[in-house]
Amino acid sequence: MEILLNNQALTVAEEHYRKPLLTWLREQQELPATKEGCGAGDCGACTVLVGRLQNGKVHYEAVNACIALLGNLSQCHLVTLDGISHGNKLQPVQQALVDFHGSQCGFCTPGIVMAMMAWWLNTPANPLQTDKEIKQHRHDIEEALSGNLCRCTGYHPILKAAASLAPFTLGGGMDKADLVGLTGIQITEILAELSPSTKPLAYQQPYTEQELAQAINAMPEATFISGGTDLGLEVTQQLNTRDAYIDLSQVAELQHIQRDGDSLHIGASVTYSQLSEYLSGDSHQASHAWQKILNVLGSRQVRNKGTIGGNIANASPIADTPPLLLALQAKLILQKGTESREIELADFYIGYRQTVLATGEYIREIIVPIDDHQVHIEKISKRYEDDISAACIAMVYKLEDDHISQCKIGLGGMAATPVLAEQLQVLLEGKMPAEINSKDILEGLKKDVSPMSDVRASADYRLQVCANILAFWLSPEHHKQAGGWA
Amino acid sequence: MRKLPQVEPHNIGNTSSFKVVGASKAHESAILHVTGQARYVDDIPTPANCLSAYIGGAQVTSGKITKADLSKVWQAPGVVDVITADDIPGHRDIGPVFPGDPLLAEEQVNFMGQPVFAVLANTREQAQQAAKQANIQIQASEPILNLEAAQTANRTVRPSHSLTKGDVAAEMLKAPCQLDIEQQIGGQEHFYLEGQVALALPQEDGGVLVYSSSQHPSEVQKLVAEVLGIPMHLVVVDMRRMGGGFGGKETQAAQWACLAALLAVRNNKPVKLRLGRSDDMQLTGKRHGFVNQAQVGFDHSGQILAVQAQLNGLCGCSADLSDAIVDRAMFHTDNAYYLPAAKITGHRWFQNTVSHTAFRGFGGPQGMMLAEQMLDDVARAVGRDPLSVRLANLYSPQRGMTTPYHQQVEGFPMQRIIGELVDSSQYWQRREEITLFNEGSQRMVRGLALTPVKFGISFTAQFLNQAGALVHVYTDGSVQVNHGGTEMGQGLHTKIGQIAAAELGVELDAIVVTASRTDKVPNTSPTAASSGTDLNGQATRAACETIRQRLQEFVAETHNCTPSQVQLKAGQVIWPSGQQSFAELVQAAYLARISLSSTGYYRTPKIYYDRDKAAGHPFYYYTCGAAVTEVEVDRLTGMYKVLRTDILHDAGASINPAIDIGQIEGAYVQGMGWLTTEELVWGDDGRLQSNSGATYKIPAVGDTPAEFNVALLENSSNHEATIYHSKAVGEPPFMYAISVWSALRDAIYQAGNRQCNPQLDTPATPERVLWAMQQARGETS
Repeated sequence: MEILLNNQALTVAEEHYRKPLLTWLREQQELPATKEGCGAGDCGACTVLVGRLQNGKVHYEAVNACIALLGNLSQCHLVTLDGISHGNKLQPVQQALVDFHGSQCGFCTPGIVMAMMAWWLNTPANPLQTDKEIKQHRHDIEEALSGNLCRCTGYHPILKAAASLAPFTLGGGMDKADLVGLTGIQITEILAELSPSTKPLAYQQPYTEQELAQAINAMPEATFISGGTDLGLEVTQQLNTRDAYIDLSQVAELQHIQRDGDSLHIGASVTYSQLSEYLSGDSHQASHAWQKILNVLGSRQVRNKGTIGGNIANASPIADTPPLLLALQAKLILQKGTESREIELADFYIGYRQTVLATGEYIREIIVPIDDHQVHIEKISKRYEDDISAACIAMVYKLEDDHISQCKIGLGGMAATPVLAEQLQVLLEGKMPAEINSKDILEGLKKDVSPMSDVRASADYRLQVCANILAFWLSPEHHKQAGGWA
Repeated sequence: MRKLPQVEPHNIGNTSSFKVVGASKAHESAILHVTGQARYVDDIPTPANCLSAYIGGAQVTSGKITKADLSKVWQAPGVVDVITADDIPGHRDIGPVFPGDPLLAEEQVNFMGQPVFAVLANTREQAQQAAKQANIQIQASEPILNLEAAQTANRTVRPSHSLTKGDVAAEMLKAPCQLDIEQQIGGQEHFYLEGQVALALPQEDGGVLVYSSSQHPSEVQKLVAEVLGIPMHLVVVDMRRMGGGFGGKETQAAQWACLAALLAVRNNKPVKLRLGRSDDMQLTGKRHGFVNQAQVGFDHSGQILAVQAQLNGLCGCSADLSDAIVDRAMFHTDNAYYLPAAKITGHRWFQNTVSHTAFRGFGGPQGMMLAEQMLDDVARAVGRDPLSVRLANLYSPQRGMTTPYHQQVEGFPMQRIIGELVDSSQYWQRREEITLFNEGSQRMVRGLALTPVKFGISFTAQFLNQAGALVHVYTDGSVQVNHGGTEMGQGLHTKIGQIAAAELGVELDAIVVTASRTDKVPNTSPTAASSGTDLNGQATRAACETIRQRLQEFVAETHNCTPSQVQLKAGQVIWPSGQQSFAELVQAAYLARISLSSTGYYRTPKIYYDRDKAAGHPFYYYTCGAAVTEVEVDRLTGMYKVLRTDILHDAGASINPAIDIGQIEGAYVQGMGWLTTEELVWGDDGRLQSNSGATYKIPAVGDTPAEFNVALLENSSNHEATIYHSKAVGEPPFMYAISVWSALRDAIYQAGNRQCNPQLDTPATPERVLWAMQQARGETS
């Protein structure tokens, strides 16, 4: 495969397809500006920009190089800090960080610069006028930096540096910015000419479902990988590289998001960032809940890579989207060869990290019914950004004549798989909210789940917060007052 | 050099605006940081034959090694060498002060994963894979994993020590009110972004050059020499910059440097050893957890009359620096408050964990936590606002200025600081607003707290309070400065550069501060105890002064004036009858055979501590300040946010206000992490479960206070003759974060309608906060 690394088109040898991008940058390319802080996608010191050609334009996103496997990046424009630094002539983002004393030890700084660059390139120059716009602007900056840990500065000077770039210098675009010594047009032309992945058996990146079927036929035991934000960790943390991967992220048929009557159809390879953007203008109840959970799912870097299908198929009990999808009664289209079947998400999980997926079978699409239910979600974690749920709870219901109906409660972090609280649902069904107190809910929950105590929280805490939140959603106060910040 | 470089002649511009000390200069490496050119140890280009080392250990927490079969490690692809303790030619113990830290475990294993062997391979991946192949058998013994177990077994790493002032028993009896406190304080992972790393290059004659990410190159040099069994003059340690240290690279960097050096010399090949994050977290020491207990006697107005305190430091499996750390906790149990009678005892308990070590504040924060809980608890007991009770208990000439260790507190502007901060933060007005908010809010509840900090400056080990510098002026007028301190992001080299520029009267860009190297300035102290600028700044000034005086005398002789009539400023040299540029003067001096290089040396005056009497003057002075924090807590989940923080800090006459403010903001957020979301969890098997960024949560960008006002106390000057009368700044602001914990307790107290004073151990995770709110409301969980 070929990539454009900064201003240089390169061929990547097949032996490197299953290697992390960061190691390749530092060791093979001798580009040490990109740092390894944690090797696990938690700190962002290794942030680089990945640009892909979309509809004739290059769209750049911040990505953690430590857990991105090279095979995933065929025909991309990879931009590292080395590429945008030209002597002492600084980019506006870099100059702002210097001016506001935004670096101390400097080790996180390369990642901070690149995360800020991604935001800077993608944010239109818009003078901020209303309080709401200013607040949203600060939120956007924090969102852009949500995956970058700094242990020295306390972030305040970094936030000030980012804010100083607004509103006048924003909206550089790679065209205007001329970041790597190439114009936007040159970059587009080079990317269009790059050869795709050679698709070696050990790392196949099909572009169509037909190619995917061939890949599966050739290597039926290969591991499916999509965003790789969890599988990449196996490589760097457990030193466990699978024998073969089939990369679903670029399969054209898995990329769609569309509304079709009463349903939202989400292709399995749609990333969290793409879904969030699609739903951003939408004022539907469920869209608010989606935005709320997507906003605290991993970091910006993780959201740019991770996919909805991957989140479901990975079958982690602490995955963030399944509780909401379960409560919304989502269905999955599973594909194996030419055969496809539709199943309820509620029937998908069969045990800890086990699903009904047969060998060679993958999730093609997620179908989410759209209705006028009340939709709520809350994620409980020690930290707001880039943390894993201690518990995640979603509830979907209707009030008919002040009585609860069609109640569905999805839980994450509460059992070996994401689950519906079926007994509690029955308990609540047909009741008036005023008849229910948090003690009853707690007792009901205990019949459904027996969570674990672990490094994130105790079993008692998990049960208690879920009961507290459910009781609050059903309380009269909830309708008067907006809930949490997340 | 037969021909001198061309230099700029003098300019006749105005030199009166020249101000380098006191100016907010950018970090000396800021441009290198943002362009990715700043080199850390792992970025140094290595020779093509460089090999990679990794360590392997025992997967048992406590026990004796019965068999270490490393044959499969040897057989693994790419393996070049495997070493155990038996392969160490010199010292096997690298304990920094007391023995107890084996380079590689010989027989006894004291914590999960303790390194037993090191493997050298062609690549890092090969070395890591090979390290997993060992078969180490261990006869396990019952581990000690909490205070009770250590007390039952009566296992300490050092003897206990007590501070005594007055007749505590008698004063306690006389006090109208008493209360008891017990608080559990969690430790803290340093989470420096750059993990532990060393690169060793063998030299001729059996020597070695070591690049080590260390706060203490001289100690690394000494330990490498001892481990190799060679004299120190054959070992050079080089440290340009660390990607964060925070105390975690004071003693903890040595092991990896020693192993890399040993393998390099044994194999006559360059060797790099870099720990992965998860191993770094499991194998290096952290901030000590403490269990503090106290009985407090006080009167009905909330004035404290007597304190009897037990500080139990959980030290891990060896002494490391724990003696001094628990001492410093004891020295800060008073914080800013006068204790008329006090007995403070510190214990150093053994645990089957990694040996805990230095971390910003060095025990001070853990001691100060007890003081602040005392003040909050006493205030609630007497029904007054905690701020009023804090003010009533401050050191003052009226109440007393003598600490429990019998040092007189001098230069203590705390009344002024709190007065100004109460005004600027509108403490009393916000107190009322918060009460109103809480009455009208079903879900969120807010809390507010002001806590002061008085932090003693100096190493409590007297001999460490010394420093050296080496300054070279070259014939083009450029200057190289080297000193004993290390740069870990705190801006030390920037401040040193400013001091050298001021003393030599040149612009800042004429100065380069080079990597810390043991062959330039020898026998240095660790860069620790907030002392970097205080010590090395003075040494640098002394060196520059020597050179400047030589130059002034030379000008005076050649131009018929007195040395004091010769001014060096902004790169110009001015005497009554003429002027030339600094570079011109330097060339003239060189041709006249004047030495343009000098060392400088400094030792801190006045300090001493008599441990037998538990009395003395361990601190040259105190750095002071105060913080006000407002938090908002979710009654449903215990999750919280800091809404606003106001800090007023006394940096004396600040050498670089921007750098000082950066230290304050960063320390506050780091301290906030310690007390809130950063939870070290050890399993029953002694394994650290919070061993990655996924399970151990340091503050992220959104955790920074939404409103963050930090100011330096205006028109301040250290009453002691410190470098330009500035004050140390590295550690003290860490403890402003205690105001976050105190504000959380306030919010919880408010959530319970001010009926029940909540217990809140740390870290105050959302879970602990939720349970505390239940307790405050009188519910049981």
